[in-house]
Amino acid sequence: MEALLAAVLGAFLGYCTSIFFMLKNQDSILINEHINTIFRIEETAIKYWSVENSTNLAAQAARLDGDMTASSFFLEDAERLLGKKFNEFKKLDGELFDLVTGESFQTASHTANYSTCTEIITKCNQIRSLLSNSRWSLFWTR
Amino acid sequence: MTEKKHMLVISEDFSKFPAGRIKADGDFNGTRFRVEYLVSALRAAIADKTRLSVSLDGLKSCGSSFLEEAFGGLVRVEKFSKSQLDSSLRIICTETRLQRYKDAIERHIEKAKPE
Repeated sequence: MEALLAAVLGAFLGYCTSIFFMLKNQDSILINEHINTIFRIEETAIKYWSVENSTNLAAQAARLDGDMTASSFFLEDAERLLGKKFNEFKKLDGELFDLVTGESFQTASHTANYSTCTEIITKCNQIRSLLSNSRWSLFWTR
Repeated sequence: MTEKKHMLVISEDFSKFPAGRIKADGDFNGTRFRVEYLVSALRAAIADKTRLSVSLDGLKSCGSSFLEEAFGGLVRVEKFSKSQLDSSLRIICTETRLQRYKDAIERHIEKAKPE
C-alpha cells in the first residue's frame, strides 16, 4: 500500500514538474522570438539609415515600421517574462524606437546617418543581452 | 463643459497610419496634425479650464518622427510651456502595445526647447 502511494505521489510530482517546465519553455520561446525580431529590426534599420536617395527607401521604411510595430506586441508579456528587468527593458525599447523611427524617418528629406547606425547596433545588442539573461532567469530566480 | 468633450482620437479623427513631419512627407504628417487638430483643441480645453485627452487607441503604426513633430512641436513651435501641457494635456491608451507611443510623447515634450 505504501509503495503504491509513493508511486502515485511520484507520478503526480513528475506530472507537475513537466507542466512547470513546459510553461517555462513556452515563455522561453516568446523571448527567443523577440530576440529574432530585434535581429530583423537591426538588419533593416542599418540598411535604411546608411542609404541616401535609394529608389526603394519608402519600401524599406514601411518594412522597418512593420517590424517595429510587430515588436510592440511583446510588451504585452514583457513585464511577466522579464520580472525585475522589465523597467530596464522598457527604457532600452523606447530608446531603440526613437533611434529607428525618429529624426528623418518617413520623411522626404531622409538622409543617411552613420552614427545612428552605430547607436542602433549598440542598442540592439543591449536588448538581446538583457533578453538572453532573462531567459536563463526564467528557470531560476528573478 | 465636460472633459469628455475635449477629446481627440488620432486613429478616428486623423489617421490610423500617421507618418512623417511635414506636407512633403504625406497627407497625415505631424505638422498637419499639430496645426489643424492639436493646437485648436488644446486652446479650447485651456479656455474651458479643463484637459484635452488625446487617445492613441486604434493606431496601427506610428513613428517617433511623427510624434516628435506633433507633440514636441507644441513646445518647439507653438510655444506652449511644459507646465501648461502638464496641466492641460492627457495622453491615454488602453492597449499595452501603444504604451511605447505614450512614453515617446512624454519624452519628446520633456526634451523639446522653444525655437
